[in-house]
This record gives sequence, structure tokens and C-alpha cells, in this order.
Amino acid sequence: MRKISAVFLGSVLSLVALQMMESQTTAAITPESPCLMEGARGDGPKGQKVVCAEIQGKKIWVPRGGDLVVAISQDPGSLNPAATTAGAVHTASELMFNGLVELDDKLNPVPELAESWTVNKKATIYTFKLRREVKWHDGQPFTSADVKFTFDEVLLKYHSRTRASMLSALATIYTPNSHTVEFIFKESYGPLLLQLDVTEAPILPAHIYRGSDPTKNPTNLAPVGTGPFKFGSYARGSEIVLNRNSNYFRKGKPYLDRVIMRVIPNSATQVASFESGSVDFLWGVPGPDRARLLAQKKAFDTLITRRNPGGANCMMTVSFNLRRPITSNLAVRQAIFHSLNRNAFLQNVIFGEGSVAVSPFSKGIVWAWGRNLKLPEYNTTKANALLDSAGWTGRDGSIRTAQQVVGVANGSKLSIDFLHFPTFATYGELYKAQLKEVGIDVRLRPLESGPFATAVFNNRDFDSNIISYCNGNDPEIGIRRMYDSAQIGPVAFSNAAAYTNVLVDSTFQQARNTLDISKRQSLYQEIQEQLVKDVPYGWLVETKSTRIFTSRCGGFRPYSLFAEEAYCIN
Amino acid sequence: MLKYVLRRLIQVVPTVFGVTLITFVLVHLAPGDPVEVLASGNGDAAYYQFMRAKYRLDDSLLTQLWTYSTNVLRGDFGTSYLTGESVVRMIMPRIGSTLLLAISSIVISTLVGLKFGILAAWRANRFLDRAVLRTSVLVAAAPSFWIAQVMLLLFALRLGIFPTDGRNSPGFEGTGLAMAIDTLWHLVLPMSVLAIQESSTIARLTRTGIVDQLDDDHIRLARAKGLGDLHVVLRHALRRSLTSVVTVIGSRIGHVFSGAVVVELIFGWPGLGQLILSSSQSRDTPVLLGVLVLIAAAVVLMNLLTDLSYMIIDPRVRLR
Amino acid sequence: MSAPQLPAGVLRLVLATSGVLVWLIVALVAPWLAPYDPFLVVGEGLAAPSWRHPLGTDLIGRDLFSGIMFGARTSATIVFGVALIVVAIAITVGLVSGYLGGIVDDILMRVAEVFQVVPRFFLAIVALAYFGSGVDRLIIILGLTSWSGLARVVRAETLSVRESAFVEAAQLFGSGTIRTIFREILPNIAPTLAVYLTLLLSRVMLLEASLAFIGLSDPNSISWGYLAGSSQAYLRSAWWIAVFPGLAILMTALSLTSLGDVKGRRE
Repeated sequence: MRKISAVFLGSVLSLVALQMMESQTTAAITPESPCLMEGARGDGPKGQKVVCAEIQGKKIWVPRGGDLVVAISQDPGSLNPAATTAGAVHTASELMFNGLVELDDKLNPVPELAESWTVNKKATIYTFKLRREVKWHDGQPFTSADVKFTFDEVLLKYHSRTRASMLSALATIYTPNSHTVEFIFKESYGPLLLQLDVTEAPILPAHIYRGSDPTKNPTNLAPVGTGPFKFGSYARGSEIVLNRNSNYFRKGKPYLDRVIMRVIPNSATQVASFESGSVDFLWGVPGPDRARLLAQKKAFDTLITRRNPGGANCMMTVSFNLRRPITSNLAVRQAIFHSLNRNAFLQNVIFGEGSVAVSPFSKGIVWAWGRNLKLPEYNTTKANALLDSAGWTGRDGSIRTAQQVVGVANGSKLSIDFLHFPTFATYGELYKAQLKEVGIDVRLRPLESGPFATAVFNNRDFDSNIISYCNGNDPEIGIRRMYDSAQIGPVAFSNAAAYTNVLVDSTFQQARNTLDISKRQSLYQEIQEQLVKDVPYGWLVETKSTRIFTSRCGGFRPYSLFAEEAYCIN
Repeated sequence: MLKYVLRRLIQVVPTVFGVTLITFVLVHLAPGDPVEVLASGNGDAAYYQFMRAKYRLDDSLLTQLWTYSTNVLRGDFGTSYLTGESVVRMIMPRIGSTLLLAISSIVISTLVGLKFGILAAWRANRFLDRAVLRTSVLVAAAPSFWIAQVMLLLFALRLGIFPTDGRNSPGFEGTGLAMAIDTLWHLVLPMSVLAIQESSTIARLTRTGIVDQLDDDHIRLARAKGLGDLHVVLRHALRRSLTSVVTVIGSRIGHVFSGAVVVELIFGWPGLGQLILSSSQSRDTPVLLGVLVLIAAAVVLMNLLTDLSYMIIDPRVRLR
Repeated sequence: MSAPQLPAGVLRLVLATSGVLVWLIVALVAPWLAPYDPFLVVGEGLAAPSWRHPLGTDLIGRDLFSGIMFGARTSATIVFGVALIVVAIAITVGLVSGYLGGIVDDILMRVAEVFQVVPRFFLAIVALAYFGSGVDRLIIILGLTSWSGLARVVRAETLSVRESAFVEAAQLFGSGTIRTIFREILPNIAPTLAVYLTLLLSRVMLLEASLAFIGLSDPNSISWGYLAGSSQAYLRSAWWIAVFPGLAILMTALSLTSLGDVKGRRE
């Protein structure tokens, strides 16, 4: 009897204790301290509301409310992330939208706008059941028509990666009812689930965009989405204010009241603003400043990631124009590769934020990157020998001249041009410096993205260039377009080198048509071995970004909806 | 007098048109096809054709220029090639910011420059004069982005007195007086960078102008009459030298607008500077032309204002 | 009672002249005198000044001292290129305008006014962005937009000389009027020309630096503006790559301006 009462008393006491811990009338709760019951509410020391939330696996008290100020480098001009892959637009607007399927940090698909899905055995039909309670920011319900419209009219026409990978494989998108979408492919298509997040396929409202030119629709400046944050205001050149969407389908989130994207074009000023406290979050920081900021460890935290608003697993890649007499010569390309000290690029240009490329595919695609490949190593002796053998003669230190080179007049100089975005100027300088050592003269041509794309993909007016090719999370998404001969054309960021190898084309096709990972892996290994022999591109370095933010804030994801679970302690 | 003003006002038009002409020709002579900007990555041949027709890109240069000019006179600056937004709507919020920056710099630098110029002339060839001269030459020869960055690091970061960037505090929602104060607080540093360079030039030229006048017969007479030095300087020399000062201010207006570009970039000030840069780099011609035409008009109008103030200051100067 | 010419004035003149001379000499001999090729990687990136690299190295390890020497060459090229174009156009326009007068004069002066009002910096941005950045394009665009002030001076001189007795006398003797005027005008305008040019040219250098800061400089030739502008983000961690090029600009612009000033005062 006594034992029963003891147990009874004990449980009552613990229940009471639990209640007291979780109730609103107890003493102030320190933000970020551990909690037990998700969803429980309380008060913080300064009277702000706190809620118990699971952030990255841990249950902690999270303050609700507050503003987050994020620095961005460029006024995006438009806030429509489906019509472009431009980093500036995505950075500013992704928080207002959603994709069908999100990817966690292990790249496993997680439901977002789609609550569940099935794939048929041959991977030709993907059926998605959409959430029913989702509403657009203007109150209209989200339906399958929005998905079909976004893909048919926007993504497959303007989003370079989605278009390059899916357009040829997709037969149709079928919407049997307002909450089911079926993607029907002409043949087996493995990678679909990896390209449905908000970066690769954000969903736009059909009822607003239907019948208009998606790149010129005025809603691009005051967007309507389904995402955790709603559009607040856009002061051109100054800042974009996003307000919390209290009807967000993930109940309870987001925690912040506002996210303010502040346009600060100058990177030194961004760092100064961050240090002075007026900015809370930086997308990236120049190398030397990074070391300095991190030395102030208590004040700042970091997140390192390969996934960016512009794309994931990005690799700085030099393209050679295979249709020009100088660069069409394999020995010349190999020589250029041998003269590149890629470690210097890693150290001096990106300050160690990344790694030297070891294979044509990014190591971020863990199962697909080529193992044991011998990329041409840094060896100026070999480079010189190769150039000699190709008919380019030269004395020490001077620029080589042609002797019996096909398509080039005797005596003309070995001079090639190099196109790059102005932000990649340092890559150009280092490339120029390193190639000069083996007697190659490089003319740098900086061009902004529009004119760059025109010169490279429309007019093929270049000898070499550098592009940050974002490989995506599956080789079908961002890699195939670089090597597929069907992708040679006036589409930005397709096959810049104009590489044509029928065998490689068909191997890519085979790899796409199977779901068997080990089969795909061996096929991609074959492809990469061939690519290393042909050297159509110079794979330089894989880049990572370090997000830096004040320790007052936390809960950031390093990609996509980076502030969905973010909070700031005031 | 009124006829003169009217005549000058009318002359504004051909001057601005001249600027438009130069820029228009320059832009259209450049290599590259504007359709590619319009198409924004959609490589469809039919779409190109459609865009060509819609924007009349196949008309001759003269026809396009005529169309553009007549549209501008009606207030229609066209739409952006990139976003389709009305150019006027894109420029309006920004022109206010740049004008605020430019005009406040001109006003402050005039006041400061005059004061130091007078002081230097009064104490000609003594320490103060030499100090003013040396500082002004030094400052005028320094690159503006240097000065901007030093001030940013010193006053905004190190001392924390002023904000580091922007026109208002992040997410600021105040109105009226609160808004004005916040904007002013943000204006101080960028304006100071411009004002420092301009005031040093104005000081130097005022000083030179006054010192030259101090040789004048009238002044010697005034001195002989026993009037104090400062009195002499202020009443007689200054009045005369103001004409040259006003000329100087007039010529600096263009410089102030140019200098504003760099300052706007460093301080994230949301003005026309960023817009000029981004529209040039992305070849968004209508936006670019719109900005340049408006800036040219602003400069010409301000020149006119300074010329008019000539006549108020110095009764000797009337018409040409 | 004019301000006495103190020794300070002479000192200033000497300093200014030597500043300009140093600049020109370095510009001429840079390819032979510079310790390293300024485009080659010769050391660690962002290395502080040392014996091997007296002004340190830049971001990717190029010697800054050599870079500054070659920068003198680039700035001298730009400045002289612009001077050539400006003088050529200004003298032609001023002469024709002053000599012919009337409608031609009106039109030419109106054109000059347009070019004066045109914001040079903005036009340079447009030209470089649309035609590509390059030293030649920069020279052309700056030359084409900077001649109005000088043209006005030439015109004023032409006007006054045209009426003078010398010309009438020369006409009596049958020598060509234009040639006479030309020969008569030149010595008169030479000092003003020199002053005007030195001031103009120091402004051109600062303009080039600002253009480089924005990223519109010629990446294939080292220029001070390019060095100063592209490295200003590292001011706090590697101050030398931002400061030394800026100092070079400062000192040369200072020398040019002082030279112009001092010569001006001599009048």
C-alpha cells in the first residue's frame, strides 16, 4: 500500500514539476537552453516569447520574434527565382517560396509542398500527393495546377539546370486532381527527387503568372509565394524586407518576425557593417577577413557548405573552345592544365575555402565522383615539352610562336583570351600569370553575365573562359549539360567547350535510365576516365562558402530556406 | 532679365539633347545585340523575332533616336530590357537619394570652403594660409575611394558614431521627423567624403580670388581710409571674388555627381550610381539612357542657377 | 602689395618638377629597371614588405614594387594619349571657331558646351562597359570628352590676335592668315595650355583610378588605379597593396597639380 502511494505521489510530483517547468508562469527561460516538450511556450528573461523547438536534432528554447539583417552584394532586380539561376535573385527571394521536396544535409528527400510520393519500378512515373492546407500569400489555395504551370511555362524554359536535364526526358506532367501531380517520363529518369527543392524548382502561383511573360511580370517585384516569409517591401538598391508568414504550412515556424536583406555592394563595407552590429548574417567573407573575424570566436559563428542559392557543389571550371585552332589541340590543352598550379588557386584566390578538384565531377556527389583519376598534375616541364611537340616554339621567358601548327600562320604568337565575370577577376590574373611562365600570353576579357553568356554560348567568341558550374546533387542535373553534344547551343551555361563524344553521350543516357546506384557509379566512372583523357575543360577548384553570423542568432540551415528555423536573441 | 532667364531655359533643351545624342550613338555603335538582353536566357529564335519587332530594334539609328527623343519629351523613358519595369519608376526613388547627397555636399562644401578661403586670404601667407593651401592640394589629389574607406573605418567602425551603410537603418519604419533624422544620420559620412574634396578646392580658389583682389586700387583706397583688414576683405574683395567662386561651384557640380558614384558604392547609398553601373554592365540601354539624360539635365539646370546667381551677386555682370 | 615669393615657392616648384620627372623616368625605364615581371607570381600572396619585395606582394603573389613601376608607364601612356587628343581637338576647334566667327563659332561653342556638360565619368563607364575595358578605349573616351575648356581658351586667344596689328601686317606681306595666327597664338597660349593640361591630367589619373575601383580598368596592363581599387577590400589585413598604389597616385597627381599651380602663379 505504501509503495503504491509512494509511486502515486512520485508521479504526481513529477507531473507537477513538469508542468511548472513548462508553464508560462514560471521564472524566465534562458533562450537556447534545453527543453523537453516541443511546442511548449514560455517567457524569456526580457519578456519575449520563447517556444520549445527542435533545431538540428536538439530541443531548445527558441525566442520568437525579432529581426534578422542579412547583407547581400547586389540589388537582385527581380524576385522571381524560377526564371533564373542567378545567385543574387535566389538569395533574396528563396525564403518566399517552396519546392515540392526539400533535401536534408545528407541529401535525403524530405516532404515540403509534397507530403508523400511514389515512384513506379521503371522510374518513369513519379506521383506526388500535395499538401492540402497550403495557401499562397494572397490567400488563394495552392494546387497541382501551380506545379504544372511552373514547370511547363517557367522552369523548363528559363531555369538552365532544370531545362538542361529534364526537358528532353519529360513526356508530360499530368494533374488528375488538385492535389496530385504526376511527372511522366519517356524513359527511366533517376534524379528527379534531387532537383525539386526551392533552389532547383521553386513553385510560382499560376493564377498570377498565367498568360504573362514570366521575366517581365510586375509581380516579380512584389512576389507571391508559399514560403515561410512574405514579401514586405523592396526599396530598390537599398533593402528587401520579408515578413513572417503566420499561415505557413509548417506550423509554428518561422520564428523571426522579419528578415531584412540589405544591399551592400562593397565587401569591405559588408564586413564593417557586420562588425559594427548593424548586419547579423553574411553569405561569405573575403579570406583575410575571415581569419580575423573567427579569431573573435565568442562573437561569431560559422556554417560551411557546398550548397548555395545559385546552386550546389560548384566547381570553378575553365572551358576550352574546341572549335578554335589553338585550343582544339589536345597537347595544348594538356599543357595548359599542367601549367596550372591549382593549389595556388585554392590558397590565394579562395583562401582555402574549398578543395582542389580531383575529378571532373564534384566530390559533393559522394557516390559519383571519379576515383583514382590522374588529372594532369602541376608540372611546367611537361607543359613546355607538350607545347614544343605541338609546334609552339619559344625561347626562355618569351611568348611562343607557331611553327607548323595547323590552322595558325607561322610566326604568330601563342595568345589566347580568357572570359570571366568581373567577380572572378583574380582567377584570371592567376591564370594569366601561370600561363605566362610557359610562354602563353593570355588576354583577359571581363564581361558581366549577360554579355558573357552571349559571347560564349551564342557566338562562341572565346578561346578559354571560366565558369562556376554548379554540379547539383546528381550528375544529371548540372554535369551532363557540360558534356552532352545535344546541349551545344545558345542556351546559357550549357556545353561551353562544344565537346562531342558519341560514346560519352550514350553512357550518360544509360546512367540516367537506371536507378541502380552501383551501375550508375561505374558508368559515371567510365565517363570521367574518358573526360580526363580528352581534357575539354580544366577542372580547377571546388568551392565552399562560409556563412558567418553573430552568435546572438542561430538555427540557420546553410542552404535553401536558410532562415526557416532561425532565431535571434535580442 | 526675364528674357535672359527664358532664353537660358530654352537653351537647356538642345544641350540635353546633345548629351542624349552622344550616349545614344555610343550605345548603339557598341558590339552586341540588345535582343539578347531582352530575351534573358530564352534562346528561342521566334522569341527573338518577337522582341525585335516589339522594341523596333530593326529601325535605323536615326529613326530610333527620333522615337526615343519624342517619347522622352512626353515623359516616356521606356521600359527596362531586363525586367520590363518602367524606367521612370526605377529611377525616381534613386534620383532623390543622389540629389540629396549631391546638393548637401555642394551646400556644405561651399560654406566650409568659403569660410576657410576667407580666413586663409585674411591671414595671407601666414601659417593658416599655408596650412589651408597644403591640405587642400593634398586632399584634391587623393583618390576618393581612399578617403571614403578611411572615414568609414574611422568614424563608423572604430568610433561607432555614424552608421556604416545605407540611407536608413535596416528595416526602419518611422516617418516624418524620425525618418528625416535617421536619413540625416546616415547622410553624414558619404556627404563628408564628397564635401571634403569639394570644400578644399573651393577654399583654395576663394583664397586665390580674394588675394588677387587685395591688390586692387579700390582695396588700397579702402585700406588708406583706415578700414580694418577683415572689413576690407569681406565687403570689397569678397563681393568681387564671389563671381569666380560661383564659376567654380558651377564647374564642380558635374564632379560631385561623378564622385557620388564611388561614394554610393562604398556606403551602399541607394542612388543613381549603382544603377548606372548595373545597367551598363548588363547592357540595359533604356535604363542607362534615362539616368544619363536626367543627370545631364540636372547638371545643366544647376549651371543655370549658378549663372543666375552671378547676376544677383555682381551687378556689373549682366547679359553676355 | 603682392605676396612676396618666399623660398617656399621655389621649393614647391623643385619638388613638383622632380615628382613629375621621377614619374616619367620610371615610366620609360620600367621594363629594364623593375626587379620582377609584374604579371608573374614571384612570392607568397599578400606578403608584407620585405627585402625581397620592398612593397610586399599582392593577392596572388606578384611583386608590388614592379607593379608600381609598370603602373607609372600605364598612367603616363594614358595621360599623354589624352593630352594629344585634347590638344589636337581643342586647337582645331578653337582656331576655326575664333577665326571664322559667326554661325560656325556659335555651333562649335554649343557643341563644346555639350561636351563640357556631359558627365565624363558616366560616359566612360558606359563606353568601357559596352566596348570592353582597355587602355586605348579609355584614352579615346577621355580625350573626346575633355577638350572643351581648352578650346575656349584657344578661341579667346584667336579672337584677340585676329584683330591685332601683327596679322594685318602679315597680310600685307602675303603670308597665309591661318598660319600667321597659328604662329602668333601658340606662344601666347602655351603657358595657359601647360597649366590647363597639368590640372586636367591629374584629374584624368584620379578618374582612371575610380574606374578601376569599379572594375572597369584594363586587366591586361597594370595601372595604379587598378592596384589601388582592386585591393581596397584588403585594407585591414594587407594595407600595403591598397596604400602604396594610392600613394603613387597621390604623389603624381600632387606634383602635376603643384606644377600647374606654381606656373599659373608666375603669370
